[in-house]
Amino acid sequence: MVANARTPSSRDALHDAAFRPMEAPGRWFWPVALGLAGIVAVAFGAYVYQVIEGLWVAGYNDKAFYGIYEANLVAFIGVSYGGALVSAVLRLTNARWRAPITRMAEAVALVSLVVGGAFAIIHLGRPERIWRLIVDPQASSPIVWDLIAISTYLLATAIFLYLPLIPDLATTRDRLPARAPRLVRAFYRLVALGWTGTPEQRRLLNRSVGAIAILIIPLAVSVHSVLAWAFSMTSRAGWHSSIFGPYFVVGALYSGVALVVIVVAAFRRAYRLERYISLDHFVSLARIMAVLAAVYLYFTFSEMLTAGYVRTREEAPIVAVMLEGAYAPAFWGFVVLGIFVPIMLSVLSATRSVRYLVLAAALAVVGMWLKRMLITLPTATAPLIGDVWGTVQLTWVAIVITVGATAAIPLGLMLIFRFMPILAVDEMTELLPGSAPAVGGEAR
Amino acid sequence: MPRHVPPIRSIVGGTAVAVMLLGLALASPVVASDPPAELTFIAERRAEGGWMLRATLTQGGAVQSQQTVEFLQAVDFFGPRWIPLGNATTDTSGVASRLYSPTSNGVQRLVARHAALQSAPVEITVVGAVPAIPREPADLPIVRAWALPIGAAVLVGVWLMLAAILLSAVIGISRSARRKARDNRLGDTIGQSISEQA
Repeated sequence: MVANARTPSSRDALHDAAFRPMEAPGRWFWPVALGLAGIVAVAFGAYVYQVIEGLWVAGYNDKAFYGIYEANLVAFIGVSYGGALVSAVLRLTNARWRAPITRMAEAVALVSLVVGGAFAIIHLGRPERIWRLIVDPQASSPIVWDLIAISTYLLATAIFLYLPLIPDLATTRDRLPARAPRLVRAFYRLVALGWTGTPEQRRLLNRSVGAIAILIIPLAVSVHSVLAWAFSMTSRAGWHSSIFGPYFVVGALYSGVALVVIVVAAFRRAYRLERYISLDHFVSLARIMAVLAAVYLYFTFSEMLTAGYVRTREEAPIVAVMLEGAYAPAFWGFVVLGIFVPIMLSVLSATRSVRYLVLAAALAVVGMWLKRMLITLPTATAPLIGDVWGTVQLTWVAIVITVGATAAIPLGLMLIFRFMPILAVDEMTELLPGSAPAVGGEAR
Repeated sequence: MPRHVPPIRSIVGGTAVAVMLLGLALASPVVASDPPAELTFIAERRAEGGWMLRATLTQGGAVQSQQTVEFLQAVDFFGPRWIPLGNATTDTSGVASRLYSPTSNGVQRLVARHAALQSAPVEITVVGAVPAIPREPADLPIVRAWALPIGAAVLVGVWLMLAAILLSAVIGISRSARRKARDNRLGDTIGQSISEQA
């Protein structure tokens, strides 16, 4: 049962749970954080090595000019859109069950966007020249539009995280112990904007949160479409496709919802939030995930059918290598393990437990990363001179940087929740009144 | 007592043995080696388009079948080097052939290669090549003229909306907080003065 959030005792319990990462994160917090920080530091060292030696150390060559970093860019930014859109859509549809998970979804959106955005720089051979994108932008360059799209979306995501947080920052300000440093006090006083919860303040806040929730949806869709168009507006077989925009958006949502499931499950377990985040939350998210997986499968089928049936001179080798050639194990592995199995795990009543739904989500996230590799590699390695295909080597540098970026997401989330409550306390108090039935069932 | 061997005889004898051994050593590879392989390469322009690359592999006049021959083109991007165009296997006549469809015009230098053996380069002059990447689509001058300003206007509009949402919340909430604090102070002052009067 989810506690009544309005009675004093239940409100205290809610505050204790929401502020636990800030006040008593547990013995495991620092070892895990240091371990993740170590992985990120090693990845940063590998990146410095790459900058010194050049992109060849990441497996790139003249016959494979796109590779793992482009797949990472799309994958990491994709999961960010999922987090933001889940929160925005659930807000706009007034889904009451959203309250305990919106904060985590919004934080996932921000952190994974920062990590994903870094790949826009990592995949450049000459990162020191990125300033030229600002001082001498070329409108026809996809990287310029990536920069504009990512920075716009980053601003929107930060606002979307911050605005609903204001009442909780005020609660944090009021809960600060007397021995808290003056700087910390000043910080929370500043960001809480003097919030006292007056009707006028609440009206202003609700209006702004509603506006940003509306704005962030078309923004997320258009921004991920820009990433898709960076591929599809080239004259390369396999990329030049009119459905790439919606295809990428659905893929982003699918993997994004899956990451929200994993993150919510991890923090729920780590901070003992079972009282507020129940199995029903996971079931609801898994249903969304299953629908998105089915839509993504439809897009994949549509893409393969039209390209495989007509088989133009340029496209035929790409389709062949994907369905029957060197990439076939990865492609069919993605279809089965990245789409079918997650759908089954999400909808079957026999697998209706947090463990299975997290497994479904993990398969979806890994499967979608693999799919981004499958979008990137076959076309990038297809020969334009002769018929010798290029090869991409997964070098230690590329692997270490990818693992480091992956580790940066939980690290970022752990650190961010040291400064803000992990649950949307104010929202939960608003949406889960004493008369409301329990939001979730029993925790399994 | 050991038998005495005159030094001059032993030197001559030893030298003769050494010369014979050296002769054997030098002669033996020549006797054991196969006749040198030869790779000849020609490129013929086809009337229906493209070029037919043919390489003939022989060894001591005998044709070599079922051997892999690689065709390469000299390029000068990222430094001068050979890039592979593809492979072909020699048939019963010792000929490996494959169709080459150039994607750029001009003089191109090609070679055939089999293991460490490389043919003499052949130069071809390509005209009417089909580009691998199609030409840019027809220009749309009206759309092109408007697309960028409209895109920029949309972008500026989005940034302004984001700024407006953030600032209206920040300024509005802060102002409301200040107003409430002022009212509270005023209330306290009035309350204090009332209590003093009382």
